[in-house]
This record gives sequence, structure tokens and C-alpha cells, in this order.
Amino acid sequence: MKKRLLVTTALVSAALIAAVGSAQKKWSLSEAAAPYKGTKLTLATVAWTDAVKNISAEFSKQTGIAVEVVQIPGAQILEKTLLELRNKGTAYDLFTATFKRPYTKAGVAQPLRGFLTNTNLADPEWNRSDFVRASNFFQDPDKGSNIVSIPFGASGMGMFYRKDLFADPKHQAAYKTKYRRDLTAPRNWADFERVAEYFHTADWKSFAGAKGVGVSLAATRAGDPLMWHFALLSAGAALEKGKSINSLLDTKNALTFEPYSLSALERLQRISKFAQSSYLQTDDTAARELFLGGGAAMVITWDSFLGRLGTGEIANKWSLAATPSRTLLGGWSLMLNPSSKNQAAAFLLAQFLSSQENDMKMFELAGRYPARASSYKSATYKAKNPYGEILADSKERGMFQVDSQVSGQFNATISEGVSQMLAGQLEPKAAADKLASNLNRVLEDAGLK
Amino acid sequence: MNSKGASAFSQKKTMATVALVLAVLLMVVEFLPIWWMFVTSFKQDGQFFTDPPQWFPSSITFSHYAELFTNLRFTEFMRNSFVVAVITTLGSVGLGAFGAYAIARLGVGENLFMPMLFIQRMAPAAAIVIPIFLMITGSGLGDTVWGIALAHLSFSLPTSVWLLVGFFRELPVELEEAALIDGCTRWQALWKIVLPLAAPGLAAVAILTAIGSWNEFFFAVILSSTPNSQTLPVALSNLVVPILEIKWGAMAAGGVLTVLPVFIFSLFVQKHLVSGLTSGAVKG
Amino acid sequence: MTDSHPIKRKKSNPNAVFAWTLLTPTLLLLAVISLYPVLRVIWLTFFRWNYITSPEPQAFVWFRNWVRLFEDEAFFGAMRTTLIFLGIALPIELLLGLGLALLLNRTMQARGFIRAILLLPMMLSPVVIALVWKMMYASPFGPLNAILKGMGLIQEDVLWLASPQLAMVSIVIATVWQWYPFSFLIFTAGLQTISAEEYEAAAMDGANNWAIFRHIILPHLAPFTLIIMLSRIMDGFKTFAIVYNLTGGGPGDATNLISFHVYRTAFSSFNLGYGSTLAVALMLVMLVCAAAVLWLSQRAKGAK
Repeated sequence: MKKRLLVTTALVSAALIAAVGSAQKKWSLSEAAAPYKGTKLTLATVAWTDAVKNISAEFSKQTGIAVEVVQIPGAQILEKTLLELRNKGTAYDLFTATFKRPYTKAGVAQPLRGFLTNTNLADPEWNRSDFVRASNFFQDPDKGSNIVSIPFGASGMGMFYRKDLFADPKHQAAYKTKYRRDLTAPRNWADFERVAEYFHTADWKSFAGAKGVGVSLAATRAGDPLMWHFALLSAGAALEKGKSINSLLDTKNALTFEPYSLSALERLQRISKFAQSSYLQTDDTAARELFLGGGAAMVITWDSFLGRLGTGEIANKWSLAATPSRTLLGGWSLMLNPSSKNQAAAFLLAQFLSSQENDMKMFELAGRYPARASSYKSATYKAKNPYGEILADSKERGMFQVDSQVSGQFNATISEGVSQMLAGQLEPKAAADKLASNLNRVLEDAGLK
Repeated sequence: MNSKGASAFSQKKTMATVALVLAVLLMVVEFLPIWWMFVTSFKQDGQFFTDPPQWFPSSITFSHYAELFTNLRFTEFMRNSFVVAVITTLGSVGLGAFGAYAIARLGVGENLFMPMLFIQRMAPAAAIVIPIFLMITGSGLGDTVWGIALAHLSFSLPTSVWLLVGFFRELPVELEEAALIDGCTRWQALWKIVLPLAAPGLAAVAILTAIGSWNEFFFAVILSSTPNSQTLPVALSNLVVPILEIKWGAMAAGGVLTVLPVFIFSLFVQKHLVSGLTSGAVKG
Repeated sequence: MTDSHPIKRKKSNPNAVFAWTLLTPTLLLLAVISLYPVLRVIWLTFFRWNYITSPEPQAFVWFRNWVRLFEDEAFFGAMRTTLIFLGIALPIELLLGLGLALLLNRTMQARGFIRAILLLPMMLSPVVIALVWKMMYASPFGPLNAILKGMGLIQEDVLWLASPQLAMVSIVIATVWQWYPFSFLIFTAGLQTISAEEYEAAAMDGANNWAIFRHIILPHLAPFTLIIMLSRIMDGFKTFAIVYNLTGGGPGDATNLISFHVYRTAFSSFNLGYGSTLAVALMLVMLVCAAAVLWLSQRAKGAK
């Protein structure tokens, strides 16, 4: 007995010593940050400013590193950060980015591998393989081994619709009579067109008593909220020929894309007839307001809209489906400024913001979509977002925004072409021709052709 | 000021009444949109657009202003706007006055400089923004109030010189000549005689420069990156063209904050502009 | 601006040193921030330069950018849009300003106050103009539509920014609203240069109101009209903030005014060589316009 006790004691104390020993060696943020105490970081973010500030304040408390959070509108962030990096400016130490190639091709993306393998800086519990694909990749898209960014939030477009209307027997019967199909959430663009037409002509009213429209559309050019149409174009094209605008980067010739863009433009023109008459002056906010007021049967918008739907008259009357064809996916990641004097501290902040705990916290505080696969599996998340799965298994059901050094110009060019067609300045064919030649010009200017 | 002459043009009293009514109507038209911005800045969320519209809010809140000063950092933007306007004004009126005096009175390089100034004054910001951008960011002045003020000087200095040359030419030469004969140096004459005489003109130009700089958007939006240098119009634009959420109340309150100092200022402008324009009285 | 004033100047200038001392700091600063940019932007038109791929100009391409300019529909489209914008806004501003100046030339009592109110919009930042009109044009329940409905002028909401033609009209309304007080001020100053004797003499001759307007007022106001036109045409080419903040150049390219177009081409494509070419072309067009107006004013002076 005595012997056993002795052995046990020895074992226990050995275990204790080992535990204490490893606890002493265990990585801690405050220790890792000790050399950088007193420095000040500037973080440029595209959105969710309050939540980022909140989490950064916690970071400052633990590290003594001050953080200033600056918000830059989405229409400007690519241009601003690129110019800043090109000028070797130091206004931002780290920033959110949605495209990577503009930075890697310009040679202004800071490699991160050195930080990730530095045992003083890298948190061993920070799991690199836990990110969903929709949250944007780590890598330099052209050199897989070169890590240039840390995923920070996923996003996807969703189709929000009025489930009360869709389930109404009256509408179901009328729809079946008219189209010889069941009224369900549309899965492809042809379906979408039919449903939009039906609800645009059918007799139903908004909560305020106005005539309801088929689909709520946002197409003002101020602030360029035309991602919707971009989604439609690429998704529409992807549906019809299994190709998308991404193929531009392979063929280097926009003419190959033209037949698909033409059919997508024609479809968009037909769909626009089933939208509110003011859609050309409607921005994303107003398009969402219309749906919130019960004035539209469907709206396609970024997933962050979920945050607005919990209250009011709409609360129990909406549902969410993937956008027809394939869902357009995006996401944001954090990149470091290569000219920053505080790179190590900036890396620590990026790591902190994208930790498992803060990934969920960002969702809870700002409705920003998690980047980590584990977050999507958590019960809290599942309860709040039925749409999460689509993002989590994005490989099959999503398609990504084209990531190229000319992404910004692509979007601007497409916005212009789509807007000219919608405004009635160009017929779809002329718009598609012009789009192709303008896209070719963009490729040429960038030396890609 | 010469109502006597005008009355000869038409004597009908009814016409005068009609004129007054029309004028008041036009005034209301000019004032209404500004009034709408003002009342919107005090409206509670959900009351911005109602049927019928509320020209007088049913209840008042100061929360939008509170948000501007806490969360949206308008204190910093106001500071930046103020600093930029002061640097620009001091630079363009200070340097402009000496340069303009040399050109107007001493006749140096007039034929060369006046056309040049005219071209620079006319050149739109969009035409020179590329080199200005390269120069300012290249010299490390990107995202600083100094950089923005320098960009503002690129158009306000030529304008100031151009206007001040006009003002100096209006001043009588005799006083200066008398001072010179009395043994004053050129410098003394300039400081003691010319500048005080030109004060109304200098004030008018200074005020116009300050307002122009305070309101300027194009250079400010291109050259600023953070609240370190962003001015009020830039911050305001970020509220007017938001991405997913438009805050009507904060936007209107930001507009009021941008406008208010200028309105108060413009009361002075009126005085100085009038006195500047009527400084011809000195001639007598 | 009107300097018939003779300047007393000695032939040999003993004050040259003093003058140059005064002038040098101003000239130096002007050379750096005003002259150098103009020269550099002209120089840059001869280069191919994608700023993002290269921090330095990439190749000297002679006149290739200029050749491209002449094939560039978007540039000429933006120029045309700007001229249409000016062609609508400027006459309205002139007429409103003139009308109001004539009206108020008689009612003296309230003029100071009215002028103070009319000065307000001119003092506003263009961003505030965009903000104010974004609210006025809002739909549904926007204040402007509510007023028009209340007056019985319209039944349905007008969607001010939702069609190419109306969006242009909306930009014009906002611009006229802000700037016709400027023509009012200048015309008022112009009316004050007409002496009482001239009116009286005309009245003695039995001239009616129209004759007085035609033969006395209009000739006096001609130079003032040119001042307004010159200033407002230049402003038209510079119009940027209201487009940026209110319409983004749309719908389509209906309100894509030239300054906005140049900015977007240079800064969203980072193509500095071609962006500079657009900038210089814009500058040239403006100079031609300014020269035309000045030539007109010289001719008007000569005709007198």
C-alpha cells in the first residue's frame, strides 16, 4: 500500500510539475505582445466597425497595444489600400481585403508565413485548417505556398422570399394554373423569372397597402451597389453554359464570354420589368426596406440582411434560399501593410480577431458571417442562421467573385454596361458588345492580353 | 442704393407688391431644402420619410448629434477641416498679398504672370489631380492636413493673387507716393499704408478662400485615408454613399455641422464683401 | 475685373529688387504646386503607366494615348453630357438671376435680408447639396414629391433619379437652386452701375419699360452676363461632388460629367498615362471655352 501511495504521489507530482512546466511555456498573448507594448496600430475595415472596435479594445487591454479602427466605404477600399501600399504609405497597418490578386500582382502583399511559423508570435491554438472556403483563401492565388492573408468573415448572396405568400393556397393554385408548375422557391433563373412575373401581376399588397412587386431590385450607380447584377450575370452565365466570367482569365478574351453575358443581360432586362419602378434610383438599403415593408415577394442581397429580419411585420413571413443557379460567394480577409513599422503587432491583432472565440463574437455583435468551419457547426450559430450550410459547403454550391488584379475595373465595367442597358440607353446586344470590348480594354491595359 | 433711378423704371405699386411676393416665394424655395435637412437631423428614427412629410418634427432627439461626436468622430473631422482652411487661407492671402502687390503696383512680370495665373485658376481639379497626388503622397504628405492644404493652395493661391491684383489696382497711388516722399521705405509704405487700405479686400478674399477650402471635396477625398486628415465633406460623403445602411439622421446632422460654421461666417462675408466692394470710397 | 483704371508706372523700375523679393516666395510656391503639376500632367500623356503594376512610368509611347482619346466614345460622351448639362442649367440660372435682380431692384426694404437668404445655398459644400437633394428626391414619401402632390401638379411620385433624362433634370435643379443666386448678385451689381439720369432721360424720351430694358439695361448688363457665363462654364466642367454623391454618373451614363469621368478613369483603373491625357484634353476644352467667352467680351467692348 505504502509503495503504491508513493508511486501515485510521485506520478501525481510528476504530472503536476509537467503541467506547471508546460503552463509556463504555454503561449500567451500578453507575453507575445510585450515587446510591442505602447505601439499604436491602425486597422482599416470595410464594415462592422463597432464590433471590430469592441474586440480590438479587448486586444488593447491584454497587450497594451493601442488600436485605431478606420472605416472605408466598400466602393473605395480596394483603390485606397492599393494606392496606399503602392506609395509605401503607413496610414494603415492592416486592412480588410476581398480580392488578393490586385495586391499580389502589384507585389505589395506582405507574406505572412514568417509570422505564422514564429513560435513567439503564433498562437498554437489558432487553427489554420478551420476556415471555410467562402471566407476567402489564405494563399497568394498564383503561388500556393505564399500565405498573404488571414480569413476574416465569409459572405454569400441569398435569395430572401415571402414564405407566407409562397405557401398561400390561393397563389399556389393560380401559379399552377398559369405555369403548370408548383410554386416553390426558384432554383434556376428561368424559375426565378416566372415567379417574379407571377407575383408582379398577382393581386397582393404590402403591409402598408401598396401593390406588391415581384422582386426588389437595387440599381443606382451611386456607390456602385450593382454586385447583384454581377451575381446574376455570372450565375446566369454559369447556369447556361457551365461557364462564368471567371473564364475570362483563362481565355484572355472577353468575346468568348459575350454569348453568356448577352443571355444574362436579356434575362436581367426581362426580370427588371417585374421590379419596383424606382429600381434605377434604389440602393441596397432601399431595396431591403421595400422587402422589409412587405412590398416585394423576393429580394437578392448579401446575407447580412438576416440581421434586419428578426423584428417587425416581416418577422415570421420570410425565408431564405440559395440564389438561383449558384450562390455568389465572397468574404473578407486581413492583410498586412508591407511598409508598416508594426507588422508583428499587426499580425497579433489579425490573429486575435480571427480566433475561434472572436470569429463567433463578430457574428454575434455585427452579424458578420463566421470564417471558421467550427463556428458553422456550433449550435448557437445554427439556431440563428439556416443559411450557414451553404457557406460551409461552398465548394459545391457557390461560385466566387473573380479575383484578378483587375477585379475593381471588371466590376466597374460590368456595372456600367448593365446600367446602360437597364436605363434603356443600350439594347442587350449592344450592351453585351460594348461590355466585351470594354472588358478587353481592361485586360489590355493591365497587360493581360 | 439708387432706388430713385429704378423707381423711374416703373412706378406701379401693385407691381412692387407682386415683386415682393415673388421674391419671398423664391426665398422659401431656396430655404426649404436646407430646412428639411435641419429638421431631419432632430427627427427620431422612422420619422424621416412619412406621409404627409413632417416639416416640423413631432418629437425631437439629439441622438444623431451625439452619435456624430462619439462614434462617428466628427470632432476630428471638424478639427481637420478647420486646420486645412486656416493653413490654406493664411498661405493664399499671406503670400498672395505680397505677390499681387508686386504685380499690381510694381509692374513686375505682369504680361507673363497674369495669363499664367488665369490658366491655373481655370484648370479644373480633375486636370491636375494626378501630378498633385503623386507629388503629395511621394513627399510623405499623404493623409496629412498639410497635404490637403497644399492641394487647396494649388487653386486658391492663383485665385487669390488674381483677385488681389484687382484690389490693389483700385487703391490710390497718391497716399503711397506721399509716404515715400516723407521718407518711408517701400516696406514701411507697404505695411503701414497699403495693407491697411487693402484690408477689406484681403478680408473678402480670405473669407472666400476659407469657405472654399472648408467645403472642398475632390482633393480631400483623394488625398485622405484616415481620420488623421479626413475633412468634413469626406466624412459626410461616407454617410451619403454608404454601403448597406443609410443613417438619415446622422447624415442630416453631419450636414448641419458642416454648414453651420459657414453660415455664421457668411454673416461676416456679407459685411466684408460689401465693404470690400465699396472700398472705392477711398478714392474720394 | 473691370480695370479701365490706369496704373501709374515708371519706365525704368527702381523697385525691381523690392518687387522680386515680394514676388519670389509666391512664385516659388506657385511653381511647385500649380505650374509643375500642369507641365507634368502634359508630360505624362506620352507614357504608358499602370500605377499599380509599376511605381514608375513603363514606356514612352509617343502619341498613342492621344490616338486612343480620339476613338474614346466614353470621353466624348462625357463631354457631350457636360455640355448638355451646361446648356440647360446656365440659361435658366441667367434668366432667374436677371428676373430676380430686376424685381428686387425696386423693393428696396427687404433686399438685405433676401440677399442673406439667397447667399446661403452658394455657401454650401457640394457634398451637402448632394445630401440635401438626396433627401428631397427620395421616394416614397420624399418631401419634393409631397409638395408637388399637395399643389396638385402630380398624381404619382416622380422618380427623380430613375431615368436618364430625369436624373439630368434633377442634377440641373440642384445646380440651379444653388447657383442662380450668383447671377442674381452679379446682375444686381450690374444694375447699380446704371445711373438714375439714364432712366430719367429715357423716360423723358417717352420710352416704355421694354424699350428701357432693351436699350439701357441690357447693354449695361452684357459684360456682367459674360462674367457669369465664364465663371459658371468653368464650374460646370469642374462639377464632381454632386455626381459622385447623388447619381454615381447614372443611370447608365446619363449624368457622367467630365470631371467625374476623368477621376474614375484615372483612379479606378490606375491608368495614369491615359488618365493624364483625358485631364489635358479637359483642360484644353476649358481653355477654348474661356477664350471664346473672353473674345466675346472684347468684341462687346470694342463695339461700344
